[in-house]
Amino acid sequence: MTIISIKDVSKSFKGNVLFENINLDIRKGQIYGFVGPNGSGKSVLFKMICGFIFPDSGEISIDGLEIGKDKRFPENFGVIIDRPGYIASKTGFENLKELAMIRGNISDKEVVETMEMVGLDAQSSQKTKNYSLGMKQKLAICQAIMEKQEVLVLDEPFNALDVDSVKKVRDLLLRFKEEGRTILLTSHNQDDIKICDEVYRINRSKLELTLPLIGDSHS
Amino acid sequence: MISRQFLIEFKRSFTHKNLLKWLGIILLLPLISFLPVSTGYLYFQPVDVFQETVGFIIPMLFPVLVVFIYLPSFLQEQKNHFITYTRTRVPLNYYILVKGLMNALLTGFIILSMMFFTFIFVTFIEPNFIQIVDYSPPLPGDHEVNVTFSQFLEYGTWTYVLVYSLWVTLNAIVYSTISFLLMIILKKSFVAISVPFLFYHVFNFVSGVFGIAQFSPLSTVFPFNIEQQELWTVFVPLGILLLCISILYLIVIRNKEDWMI
Amino acid sequence: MSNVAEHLKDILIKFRWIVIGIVIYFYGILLKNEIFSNASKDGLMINSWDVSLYLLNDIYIIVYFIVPIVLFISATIVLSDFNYMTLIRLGTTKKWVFRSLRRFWSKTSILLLILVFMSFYLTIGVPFSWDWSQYSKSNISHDTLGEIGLVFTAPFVAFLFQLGLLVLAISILHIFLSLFYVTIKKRNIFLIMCAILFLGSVVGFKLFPEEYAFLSPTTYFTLKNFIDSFNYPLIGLVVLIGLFIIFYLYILLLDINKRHYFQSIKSYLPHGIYLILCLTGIVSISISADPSKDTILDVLVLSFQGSNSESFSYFSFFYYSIVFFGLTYLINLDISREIEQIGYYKIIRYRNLEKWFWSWFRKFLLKVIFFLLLLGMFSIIIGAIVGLKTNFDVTVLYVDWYTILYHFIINGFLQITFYILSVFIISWGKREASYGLILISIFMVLMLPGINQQGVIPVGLNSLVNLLEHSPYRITLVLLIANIMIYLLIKYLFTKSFKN
Repeated sequence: MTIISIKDVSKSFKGNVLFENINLDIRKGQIYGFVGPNGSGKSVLFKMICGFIFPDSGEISIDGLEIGKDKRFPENFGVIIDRPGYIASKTGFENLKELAMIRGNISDKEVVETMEMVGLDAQSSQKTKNYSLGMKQKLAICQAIMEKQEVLVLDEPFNALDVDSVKKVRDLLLRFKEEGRTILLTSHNQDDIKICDEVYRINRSKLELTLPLIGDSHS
Repeated sequence: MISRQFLIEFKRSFTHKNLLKWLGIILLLPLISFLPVSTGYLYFQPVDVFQETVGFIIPMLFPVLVVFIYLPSFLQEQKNHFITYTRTRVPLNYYILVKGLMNALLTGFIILSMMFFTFIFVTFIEPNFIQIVDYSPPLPGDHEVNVTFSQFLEYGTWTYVLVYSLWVTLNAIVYSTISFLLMIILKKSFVAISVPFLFYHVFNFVSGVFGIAQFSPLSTVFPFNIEQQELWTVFVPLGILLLCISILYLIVIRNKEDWMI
Repeated sequence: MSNVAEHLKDILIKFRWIVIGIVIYFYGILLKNEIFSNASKDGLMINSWDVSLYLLNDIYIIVYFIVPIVLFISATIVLSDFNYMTLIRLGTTKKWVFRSLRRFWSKTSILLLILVFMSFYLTIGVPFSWDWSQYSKSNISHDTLGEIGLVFTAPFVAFLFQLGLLVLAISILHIFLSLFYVTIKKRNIFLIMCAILFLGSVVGFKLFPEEYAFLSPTTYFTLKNFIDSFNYPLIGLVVLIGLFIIFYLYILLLDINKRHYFQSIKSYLPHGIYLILCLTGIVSISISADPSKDTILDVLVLSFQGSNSESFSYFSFFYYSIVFFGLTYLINLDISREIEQIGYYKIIRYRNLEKWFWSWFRKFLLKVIFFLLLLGMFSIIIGAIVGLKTNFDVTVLYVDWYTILYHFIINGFLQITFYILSVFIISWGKREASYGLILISIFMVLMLPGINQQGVIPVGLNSLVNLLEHSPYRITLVLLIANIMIYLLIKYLFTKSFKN
């Protein structure tokens, strides 16, 4: 079942063509990887899918609803794009709680559970401004998954994580896939990409399908 | 490299067809404008005839005149994808820059020559060889009709003509440069060529509607249909146009990939 | 060690409201003393409203203290809250703007409460009354409370109005800032905008002359400035509510990908501008007409009088050019497209060029008739709207109404047809539409005074002033002959181009 459909989408920035008439259907319950050199437009693609920016032409639909026409931001998406911003004077838990309150569909307990899942201490009184880069990244992952979002759009989710945490998060993502959640991610690391069902390379403003390398090592 | 390209461009512009066109503008147009105003009016001195000649037909032709002095050749190059083939021989931005400078230079030179020829004709040729203009000394009670820029008449007729002609020339360069820049940006060259024309005529009308005719393009470039204004008024529309040029220039240099060549 | 510092900072943050209260209190004491000394000098009675309203209307405390705090709260809320994690949970940017407003008020309301509380706290010991005091009615306080007293019957109403004004103005300020940030998404430019707003409010109340005071943000923060700037306070309210509505409409557009709409608007833009220009001319003539003697047909005559060899005015000449040459220009755009598109495949389909020519030319002719009827209707309707006489007399010209309509429609149609055919010939011959501009310019020259004296050059003949010298039927004849000649020329060109 197609959950995200990208049709004839083009986007350029200041005369720089990032995408030209790209087409892609994202099916439910799969992990999709996107690779490409710096500045090739991976984040831009993710921002367009989430409705943070609009394509110059073409359309992007989520569950049949066109972004920018029927809907602005897709529902039930967990997102990591760019560096996440936090209220520096609050603890990790307080920050997550603030976000959870917007929709109000999870309890404090679930927030705590998610934090423990990725290896953060929910009881700690440490303010986020004193967090290390890796801890901030974990917090970003928490907010993206804590509300059991159906679709996860994760730009460089493994950035700044230590080896153990990378493994933990990878396993987590595979578990989510088993649960039927859809995951889109980008990475520079070939190992991270191996968990993907399909991998696309952004090459000269087009999307090219490159299958995962033979000899999967994640299992 | 630029100076060489400039020289090449200079040679290329002097085709028979262009020469004929330019001579027509410099020599023939003033004569045609002179004819209807030569009789039926009473003049005190040649500079009155100059003003009347310059202010009659030329203002209506001005916005097309200035874009047709040089730009049609650029238009042909654009349409026939000629510029693509120059790219291996000369850097594109040099080529375009030289084109723009050449356009400004030729447009300016021809309009200035036209203005000077008009003055030389009514001051020297007509009174000595043709003598159809009715000159009469001012009677008591007659007074000079002052127009904007007449402020310079007290420094002598030549100063006035020089300053005023340079003013018209400056405007000509600005109008045609706007077209040139637009031709690089816009897909439709017809629209690019017609923007100065539309600006000129539409704002003549709009300024009339809002009762600010002293700022209309017609009354600032050819201020003979309106009583004398303060000099600063003429810089209002020019200022707007210069602002447009600056913005267009920024757009042009920021979007090199999208040039229409 | 750092924990101690953190703790201290937390205490300070919680104390900031108290600090703000203290500052307002001491400033208020100064104001109170000023009122006391002024009143006692002239032996006038004061009451609590003098103190309270005087503080609330003090422009210095508003501009240099309240506005900066409000801007600070607004900016920090906008900057900290606009992130993708919040947006994706809210679902729309619209919801974000309202959420941001709610968060803004949750803090700013404390500030307002402190201000109002202090304005009452300072009245302790001052006699209370529901009426304006002697002092506020006297001339001494004229610059502040006197004028408010003239507008509002009771000080309590003035107080409520002041409070409402402040709430409305501050809300609009925050909505503006949040919309600004949503639109540009650039932190630095946003901060510059905040600085501009602050400087604008400082400069605004010092430098702006009274007639431009409505441009200054400070005008909307205090009742005194508000009343000074607007003769009727209701007008000021209309300005604020108008702003509110504009911002709300913008909020509605926030979540739409506007590119589609811009593109469809863009293709209609030339025609839209053209129609607006046409209407502008008719409206400006209707407004300058004299309702006591001019009729609706006079609007038609005055609008489309045009010019001829004998009668010339720049306004009617330019309006004629805009309407008729503007139409020719727009049609030239379409013609150039038709010519560019014509390739062998199209000629083969139509078999000959004449069939091709008529396939699109027919449509233009219909459009021209429709356009002339529309123009006529517009001038009559606008004339009626501005209250001109609605009979079919024509007072500005000694001609019957049916002659006028005949000339306007029939000769107008023939004249425009001639323009279109001429422009077509040029575009066809040169294969480049731009040369049509030269032709239009020559047409304009031919309409200048003294040139077309006999009325035989078929340019500008549909000007209504021509009815003064020529019979409309003669003009029809001239235009018919001109059209036939030019059509024969086109036929000749078509056959010639096939031979080549």
